[in-house]
Formats: sequence, C-alpha cells, structure tokens
Amino acid sequence: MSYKIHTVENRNVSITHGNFSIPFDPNNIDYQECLDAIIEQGADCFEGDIPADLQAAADEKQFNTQATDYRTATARVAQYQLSVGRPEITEMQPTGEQVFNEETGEMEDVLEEVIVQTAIEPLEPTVEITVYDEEDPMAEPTTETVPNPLIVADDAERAEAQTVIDNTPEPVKEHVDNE
Amino acid sequence: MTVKITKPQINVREELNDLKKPTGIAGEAMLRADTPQEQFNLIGAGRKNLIINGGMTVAQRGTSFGNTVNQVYTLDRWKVARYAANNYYTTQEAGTGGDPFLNYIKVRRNTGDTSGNALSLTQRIEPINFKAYRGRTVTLSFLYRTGTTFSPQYLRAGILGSTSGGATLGYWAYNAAGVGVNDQQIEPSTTWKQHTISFYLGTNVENLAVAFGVEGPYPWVGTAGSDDSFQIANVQLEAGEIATPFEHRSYGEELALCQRYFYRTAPANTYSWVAWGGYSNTTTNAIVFLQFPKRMRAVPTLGHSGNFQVADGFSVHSCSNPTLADPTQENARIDWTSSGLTIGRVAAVRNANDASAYLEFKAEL
Repeated sequence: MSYKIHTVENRNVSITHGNFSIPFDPNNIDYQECLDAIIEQGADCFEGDIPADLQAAADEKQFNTQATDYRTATARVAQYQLSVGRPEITEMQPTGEQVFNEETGEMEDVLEEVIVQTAIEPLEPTVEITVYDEEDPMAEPTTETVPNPLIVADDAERAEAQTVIDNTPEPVKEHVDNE
Repeated sequence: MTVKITKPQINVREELNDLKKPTGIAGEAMLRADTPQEQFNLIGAGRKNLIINGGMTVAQRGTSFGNTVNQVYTLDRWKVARYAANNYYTTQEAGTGGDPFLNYIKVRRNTGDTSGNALSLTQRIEPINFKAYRGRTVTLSFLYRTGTTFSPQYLRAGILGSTSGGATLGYWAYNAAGVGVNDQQIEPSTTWKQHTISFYLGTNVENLAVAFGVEGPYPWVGTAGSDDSFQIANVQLEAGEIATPFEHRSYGEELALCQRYFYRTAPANTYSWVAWGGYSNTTTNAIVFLQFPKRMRAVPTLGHSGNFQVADGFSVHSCSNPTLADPTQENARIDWTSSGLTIGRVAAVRNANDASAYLEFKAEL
C-alpha cells in the first residue's frame, strides 16, 4: 500500500495511506513510519513524487539514526577487549602543594604519580565445563575445555559494532567525529 | 484576697504508658516524617498512577482483537505485539463478584497454535508524565493470572527505560536496543496474585514503558490448549519503593485521559452525526470540521470505517475518503469526496444507515 499526498489549493496538507490520513507532524508515529518507508523503499512507497520537504525529513532522520548507531558502535569498540585486558596507565598530576624552585625563582606545583586507568588482566581464553551424559544420568560427568563464552560474546559484539562503523557513510562519521 | 485553684490529678505513669501505644513500622514512619509532604509521599496520596487505563475499563476500539501480525492497539493505551506471527487473541474480560476490579485484559495464543514466538502487552508512558519522577525509584504493581493451560514456564513482566530509541521501545519491548530494564520471571498462577517490581528511573531516561508477556528463554511450549493465556488487572506505576493500593479513577476521568491518545466516534444509531459545520467548496468535495474532546498528544492520524453521507440542507449524498487538511492537536478540517454537491451549501456528515461506521483519531506513542 503506497502513500499519497493530499493537496488543498496547491498546499500539501496531509498524507493518505489506505484508510488513514496522516498529518505532517514529527510527533505522529504514522508520520515517522512514512519517513521510515521512504528511507527503506524510496520512491517505490509513494504514488507520485515525494515532496521535497518530506524527502528532506526522511534524509535527516536517516542521518540522525546512523549518527546514533555510529556513536554507540564506536563506544562499544573503544571498550577494552576481554581477551586482551588493559594496561595500567599513570599520569603525573599536581597535588595542590607548591614549592619554591631556587633555580627558576618561581613557585612550582608538586607532582605525584596517579593511576588514571587500572590494569585488567585478560580473561582465560578457555574454560572447563562439566558435561553430563543426558542418556545415562548415573554416569560420571566429564570435563570439556571450550572457548571462554564471555570472550566469544565480547568478540561477536565488537565485530557487530565494527560492521556498523564500516557501513556508516563518511559524512555521518565526519559529523560525529567533529562533535 | 486568696484565690484557691484546684487542678485535676494526673497519673504520670498512665500518661507515659499511653505514649507506648503499639505502632507498626509504617505508623512510626509517619510519626518520624518532618513535613506533611513527606507524610503525603509515604502513603502515596493523591494522583499517583502513571498508567492510563490500568483498570482495563476503557475500550474505544472494541473489546476483542485477534490475529493481527506484529502489533495492534487493543484496550485504550495497551498495545499487544507478537513477533512475526499472528494466532493470538486479546479480550477485555469482566471480573466476577469479589474480584477487586471491574475488568481485566486477557492475552492468549489461539487454541492449536504451535508457534513459540514472543507475545507482549505493553504501555508506553508519555515523557511529560514521568520525567518529574526521574532520579527516583518507581514501583509497578499489578494483578495477574495465567490460563489453565498456560504453557510457558514463566510469565514475564517488567519496567523498561531507555535514553533513546523511543520508536522501538514497546514495539517488541524486550528486544529494544539500549534499554534499561527490570523485568522478572513470574511463577504461573491460575488464581489472581499481586506482583510488584521496582526500578530506578535514571535521570537520563527519555522513554518508559511497562510490559507483560511471554518471551525469550521461556517461550510458549507445544500446541496451545484452550486457555494458553495470561491475564492482567489493576496495573499501577507509582513513585516510591512500595506498592500502594490501586488508584481507582472514575470511568469519565479514565476516558478523558485515554482520549489524549485516541478518540473514536461512538455512533448511537444508524444515522449518527460525526462532523458538521461545513460547506461544499466544489461539486465533489465537502469540508466539515470536528473538535476533538481533548487536546491530543500530537496532531492525530485520521482513520475511518463504514459508510457515510453528507447532508447539505436539501438532500444527502454518499461520501467517502475522509482526508485531513490543516489539522491541529485540537481540531481538524476533514475533506470528503462526494458527487452532485452544490458549491456553497452547508455540509454535515453522518453515518449512512451504518451503526458501526466511525471516524478515529490516533496520537499514540
């Protein structure tokens, strides 16, 4: 079922979709569904030309959605990898005290080394699980070594996020990266 | 002059004993409260329920809904969604004598259905109504019962909040990305039981919903029996960590709250008027105007069903395809396609020998 513009005195006043008449209101969920249809199907979902302002609204929605997805994906990839862990990072920071430097003749901050990122050890790449024989409940359980499921899930989520990043159009990336 | 004053004797020990009158924890909390506002909050007084139509009494769309793929609004404000499947039925049911409610909602797989696909009952809450509660704990309370042949191991219920993605939250509630959730698996029960769930409403929550259903690790099992259902009543979401008694609002109040999101004309007979105060601007177009009973949440979508006719003071003409023009949140001009009209004559629209014809206006979340 396609969308169609209803005009009055050469003004676009609503969108017709089957038995429904949809207003041009961004807060209306049917209007948002119309934008989604334009994003997904383009002109195929419309009877006649898509008005320029409606197309612009669909483009803006798509841009904002891609930007949100890109932000989420980059934040996910920026998290440390469970299989690698993360190193400790320290930084020299002023303590708030100052001492007089006789050579320069000026007061200088007293610095101390502060841990700004704690180290996290990588997870064990494999874990042992106890396997029970479903057919013989009385049998002694055996032990099996499998990839650490936490690492497996982490790697899968990272790969999914990386795919989102790779598929994001450059203008969207530039917009978000310059925020 | 000497004045002699007599005072009644006071038994100090008895007075002190009176002060030791037994009080419960709640009573002590009331005594400890520093302000009336604190006492007000402790007993959950005043308008407290964020859920609209929690009593399941308002049913402008009807009382029985079935076999719609994906999602459908049912009783007012309540959306039922089944992921990529149909074969489900939703009904408004009447409580029996002794039940602490007039109505409840029943959602079930159709008898004989073999799909395990998720099925949820959801209500999204308008941000303007819950944002004042951000930074506090809110508590969901409800009565539930499962059908005599309820097949899943557990019923699922929860409060869902998200910082974005409002359009998907509540469509299939549990699959919405980036959602903060407190949802719980609940033991089935063929008798009514109350359940409560609390949730810290973060200061950055932009979307909020409550949901009930069958999903994920505990799906529908096997072939549906005659009553593979879950039933929900007296749903309340309120500030605080304690569920207080359900707030019964009058039907009129509840209907008015619902009509901010949805309004359907309710014909009383086969020729009920639906819109008037208009005129014919061409021989094929009649314009009429309609004032909504409440200011709606957004400019609404117009929907229609059935047969209508336009009366122009001299005769009536069949009309169809009502279309919005310049609508607002409060009113709409509706254009009707007809034929044989006379330009400039008045126009009013009514049902055309069709007691079930209606116009509806939707501004749901």
